[in-house]
Amino acid sequence: MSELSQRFVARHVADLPRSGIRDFFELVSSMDEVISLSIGEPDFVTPWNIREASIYALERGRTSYTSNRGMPRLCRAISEYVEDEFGIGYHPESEVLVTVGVSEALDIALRALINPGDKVLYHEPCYVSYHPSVVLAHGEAVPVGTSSGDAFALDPEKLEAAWTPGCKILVLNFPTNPTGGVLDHGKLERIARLAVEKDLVVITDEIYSELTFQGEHVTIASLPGMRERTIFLHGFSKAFAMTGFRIGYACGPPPLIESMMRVHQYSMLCAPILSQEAGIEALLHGKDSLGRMKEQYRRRRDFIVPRLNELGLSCHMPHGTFYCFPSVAETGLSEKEFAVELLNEERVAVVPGTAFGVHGEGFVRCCFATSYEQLIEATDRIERFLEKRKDLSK
Amino acid sequence: MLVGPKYLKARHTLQLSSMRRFVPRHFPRGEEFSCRDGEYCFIRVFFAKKAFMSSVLELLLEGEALSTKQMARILNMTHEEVERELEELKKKKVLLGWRPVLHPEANDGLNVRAVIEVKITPEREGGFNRLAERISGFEEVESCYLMSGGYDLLAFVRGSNLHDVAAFVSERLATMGGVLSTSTHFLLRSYKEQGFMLAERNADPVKPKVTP
Repeated sequence: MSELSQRFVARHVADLPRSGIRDFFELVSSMDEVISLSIGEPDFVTPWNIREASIYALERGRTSYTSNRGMPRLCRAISEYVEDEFGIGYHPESEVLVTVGVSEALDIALRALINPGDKVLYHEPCYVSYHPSVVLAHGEAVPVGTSSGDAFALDPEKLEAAWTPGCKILVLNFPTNPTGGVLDHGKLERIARLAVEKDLVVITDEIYSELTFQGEHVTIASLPGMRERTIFLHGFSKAFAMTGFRIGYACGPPPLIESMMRVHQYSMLCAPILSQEAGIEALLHGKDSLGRMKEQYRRRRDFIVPRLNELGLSCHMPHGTFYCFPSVAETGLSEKEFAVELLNEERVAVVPGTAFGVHGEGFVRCCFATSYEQLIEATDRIERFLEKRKDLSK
Repeated sequence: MLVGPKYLKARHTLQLSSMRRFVPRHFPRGEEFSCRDGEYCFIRVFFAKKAFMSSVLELLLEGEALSTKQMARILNMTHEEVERELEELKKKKVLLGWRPVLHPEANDGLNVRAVIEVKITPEREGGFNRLAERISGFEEVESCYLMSGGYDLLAFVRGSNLHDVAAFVSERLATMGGVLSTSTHFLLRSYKEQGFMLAERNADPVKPKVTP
């Protein structure tokens, strides 16, 4: 650590580990001709009607701040969408908050709820920001491992075993980035009962819910006793291919949303107005393209997962998201070695599972939101890579 | 083609088995329905729009240029099965054929295009069809449609130069018995060709190769 950072940088920030994704990003960026299975976003461009709504707003000179909470039209559209899709009603004026992506929503929810030292339970492997966000809010992170044996669903018993006095919050993300895991109804109910019993606040990040391929997605917020203790987070990035718009939202009981509002109004102030305009269009007229994209992802999943298994990289069938999470244990390589060697030798980029927490050890994340041709080529290259290694070890 | 999802709501007291009757025959996947907690059962149903929509056709319609071998790999079918399905689609006249989509300025020798509004006299037997088919028969005519509104047929015509197209209209089309009048509009510039944007600005050098 440099002298300057020792003098000025807060200890809890200096202690944050560097993101594994960032290291890998720099390596991949230095190479040409790479087939990337390591992006965390759709390969589609945002549907034109949504982009056009944003352009129109810009033309009309809508470049101001909006209400902190978000434009009333958008809040109403969100409230209706959530009721239609998830079967749970939130009042647009007091129970909805528009944020700069789900990332901001998670951050301000944690900052609004955590007293220093409060413990936060979450499942791992998980999205890269969960642990740092808890630490930055001065909480204590309590990861609960999920495994391929359970198809990366959260085992309620493990969750109960991980609970200790002082645990206040449970963060859920199903379907999960990076594993594609989902929760079946039975597990969801047991987790909900546990949350009530232990008096946990649940923050549920359901950004991938529209990309649930099997079974119907059910939000934990809709289960008995959960609405009043759940903050439901959702956004536009994945379902409507709008990652760059940076827009999401939180829904929950008024006191919790109001507490998040306090942090939001002094930090972000409001989400960008052009993104909010795009969001309204997405919710009102985006469902057709959503259905189309989902079918296309499903077909890609149905190709890549059996193919990886055929190559000896055992991989459970993800029931949601556009990620699969194969094990590379059979190769005798660690996930980092596998990713780096595959990149060096065959120019295919996958993300080492440990970028998503220690429980990702022995796995890599492959994003299948890319063209069929690239998927075929990438899996052929992986095959060649594995064969070369087999030959070497003979 | 799957055009859902739609939700069917029913009182919780209904058994799932009795709700199956709401599910159309083309309902593709049995696991797509589930019971929600509370008062209602929700069934997510994908309505099948047309029975002939096969997985091969769906893949084709995604628009990525794939060989039949690649399609077979993606769909986990044999190469022969894909070929057979394509043949079937052709036989049913769902799939009419294959043509490359060229840039309109690509020099294929037929660079002048026009749309012609044609007024014709319907006939006692056959209405507009006989004449429409005769007009469509000319190889200069790329497409021809019966229209509602101020004229009857709209023909898309191509020729190697202005003179060719003018000659086709004045000498062959306008002189046909039953053709009352024609109105020809020449195409000046194309912005989108069969789904392809011509001024594509999507090439995205800023998109990072690794993101969380």
